[in-house]
Amino acid sequence: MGGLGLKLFSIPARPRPAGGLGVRGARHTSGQRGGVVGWVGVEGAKRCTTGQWYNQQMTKLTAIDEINRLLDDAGKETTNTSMRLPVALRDAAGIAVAQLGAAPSTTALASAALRTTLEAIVMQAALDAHYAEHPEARPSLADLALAAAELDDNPLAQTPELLHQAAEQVGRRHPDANADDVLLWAEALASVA
Amino acid sequence: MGGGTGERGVKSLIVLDNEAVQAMGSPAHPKHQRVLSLVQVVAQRKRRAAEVALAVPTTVRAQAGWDRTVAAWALANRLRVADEALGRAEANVAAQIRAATGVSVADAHLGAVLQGSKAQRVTVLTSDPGDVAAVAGSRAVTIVRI
Repeated sequence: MGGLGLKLFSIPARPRPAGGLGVRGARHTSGQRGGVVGWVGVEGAKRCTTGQWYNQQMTKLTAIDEINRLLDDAGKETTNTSMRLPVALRDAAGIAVAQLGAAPSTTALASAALRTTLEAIVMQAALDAHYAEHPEARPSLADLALAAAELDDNPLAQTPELLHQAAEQVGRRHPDANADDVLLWAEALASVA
Repeated sequence: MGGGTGERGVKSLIVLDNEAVQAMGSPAHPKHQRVLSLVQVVAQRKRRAAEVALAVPTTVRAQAGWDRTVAAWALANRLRVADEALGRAEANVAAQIRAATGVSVADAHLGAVLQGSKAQRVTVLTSDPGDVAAVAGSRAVTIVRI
């Protein structure tokens, strides 16, 4: 990692709240939170994994906050890295900059792409951590499809029943489908209706 | 997250109003899941390299009570929502909007952000579409009612 010029940060182990695990410990039930919290067998005995789950969540949240801090750092300091890129990818980026005006430089192109990817990762990680703590806050696929249609000013936003139907059909066959997958299928349903 | 979105020239800017901020920040708010569904779509699209950003005018943030130093706002702080500050130029535009429409300072600032944005597409998440339409002026804005 040192060859990448990255500064490693340490994530301190967070102490548990005073008085034990608080609310989470109080409603300790096997199978809650997607099966993360529960009991596992260890050499014939059983061991509670609630503390492990809590520590994992805290570590993730600390990492999210640190990434956000670094992304917000407006410093102009740069570093040469020994990050190894496939030659073809580097050459493709060079052509995109020189011939297509994709960015002022390949460095700018790579930095922008990396920033966008990190922002997406950190947002999703924050949302996932929140959903783990508040499962009732997780939107359904139909909710997401409606939200996507509204953000796009797509006429499908006026037909929530159709979006719900499309989300149900797509989600049944493609559990990892996203909102735009549903919109596409809803368009198809609308075109044959 | 500060610094605004202007310098990065995003293609799509999504601005939050007062109630959208409150709903995003509190799991107990009745529109919490609704606002998270919109933020979730933004996250998914960013993952596909879409140039889209979330922003909040700082006076709206103040009105909503969003203090970035307070732990209760941790979720909102983690969702990459940029501050759009009320600088000299924005304050002048906001003053004109307020004089013309009689809206609150926060709504006038929201209007200044909309009118001054360089994004190709601007969207507002709001519980009051009428006020947003009034402050947007001639700027084309997609209004999403929460």
